[in-house]
Amino acid sequence: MLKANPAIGITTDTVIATASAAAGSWGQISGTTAAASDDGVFEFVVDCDGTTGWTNVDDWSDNVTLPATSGTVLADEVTDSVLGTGVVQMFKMMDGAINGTNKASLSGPGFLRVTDEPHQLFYDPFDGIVLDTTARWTASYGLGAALIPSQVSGQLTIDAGATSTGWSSLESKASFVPTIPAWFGVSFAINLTDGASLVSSGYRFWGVGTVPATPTVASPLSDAVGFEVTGGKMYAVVYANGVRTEIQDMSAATGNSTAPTNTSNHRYIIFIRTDRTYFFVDTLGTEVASSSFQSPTVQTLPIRFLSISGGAATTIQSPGIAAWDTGKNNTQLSDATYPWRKTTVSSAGALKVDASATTQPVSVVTDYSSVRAQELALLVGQANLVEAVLSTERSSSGNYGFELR
Amino acid sequence: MSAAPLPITRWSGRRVTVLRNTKLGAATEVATPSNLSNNGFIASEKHDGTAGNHMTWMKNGKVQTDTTIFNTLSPSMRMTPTSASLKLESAYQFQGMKVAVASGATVTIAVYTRKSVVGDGTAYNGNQRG
Repeated sequence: MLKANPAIGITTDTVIATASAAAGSWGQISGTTAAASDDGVFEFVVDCDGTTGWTNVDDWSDNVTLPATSGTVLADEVTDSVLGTGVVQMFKMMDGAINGTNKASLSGPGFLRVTDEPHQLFYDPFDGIVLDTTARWTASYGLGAALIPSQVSGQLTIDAGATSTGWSSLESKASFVPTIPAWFGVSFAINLTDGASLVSSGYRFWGVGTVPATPTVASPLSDAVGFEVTGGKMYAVVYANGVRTEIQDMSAATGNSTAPTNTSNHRYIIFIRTDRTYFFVDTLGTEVASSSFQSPTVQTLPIRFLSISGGAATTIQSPGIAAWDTGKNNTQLSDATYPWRKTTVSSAGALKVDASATTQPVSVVTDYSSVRAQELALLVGQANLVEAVLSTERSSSGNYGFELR
Repeated sequence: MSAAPLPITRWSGRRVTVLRNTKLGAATEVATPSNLSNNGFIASEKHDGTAGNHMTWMKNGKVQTDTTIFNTLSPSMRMTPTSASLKLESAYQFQGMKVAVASGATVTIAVYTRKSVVGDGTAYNGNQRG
């Protein structure tokens, strides 16, 4: 409702817009005034009537058109060899999200600060029914009625059972070090069966971290960064040598109300740099929490899911997890013609050569007793022995010999 | 603190009462606010001694901070009307959302609203406008 202000041409209270959103849902209403007949102030209110219930009002915003005859827009006259001379408007680049205020910045030397797109380092969509404990994960569990982490139909389940002290954990075999000055990130797709009303007992965590030999609700983690559920609330947390630092209470009751409140899948994303971690839920538009110089004591950490029972059923379910960095630390060798064909490297760091065993490291002969004089032998693999011999003896034709046996 | 409601007798002129860090002890904190004039109000800042809790009674209802239901960040403003025909406005006279304009300019205004449902406690049964 635009309130009457005859001094600027608004002679009566005027309806600008009428709400149409369904009851129980937020909806934005907006409208545009007539042009003011003089310099002045427009006044707006929301009005309502009724005898039961109420209406909530939030987040006013306004855009004012600039009159043609006032206001200053900074500009610069430039001459382009093709387009000729013209005036370009100077502007600031800002986050385009509603209520976003983050601005692009230039460093002292004049570099425009941008962050590269994430590049995948680790991914598991939990396809099939067998958890990959060969290359990706180490599964562990103990006490109570806990079950070993398992996957079925594209979903991982970390089930600590319904007996107090039971615990179940899934840890990546690889540990990841922050990729300073780039960002290391992990995204968990998570759904909680008690997501609509989190159980108050037990403990759950997903993020990067290490655990004591027997994790307990009182002492679940050693060094870690991630999301936790404890006491019926969700938090963004950092653990340093077993000491917990709450970065943000995400509950509606006592926190910033950013914790999901249903059983659907949600994205939980962390961007980690040594000095700072950003925590996101579902969208990268606005972080739900951020830490500043609240780092784990040990920063090279594996990806982890952890569930500890406090007596009630305590599970974590995940249809996928990915990790990345923004520093291109996943740079790969691939085929020049068919770039999706990648080289394979064993856990021992061996490069797979065609037809050799994936896990077979390359070996170089160190015992030259069986090699003829003036010959250099290179043995590749053992299952399929290949011997390349380069002779430094000149043949009768005057050429040097090379043969593959 | 008073255990009796703050009484509102029928006032003919504009009457304004501002309470700061004051606890109203009665179950009905303000009796018959409908006796207020169209431009009168009773405002309670730090209502009942609770920081961030603010409330204003006007002739046609009450507005107050709401930290439970909000759009993006807490709090929002809850408007609880008391009349099926008389409109409760989101601010008392001359205290609405103000936007300075130059002659010839227009303003596009926007605001988020939400009507209560049974799940909130009571379903809203009136009409609202922006």
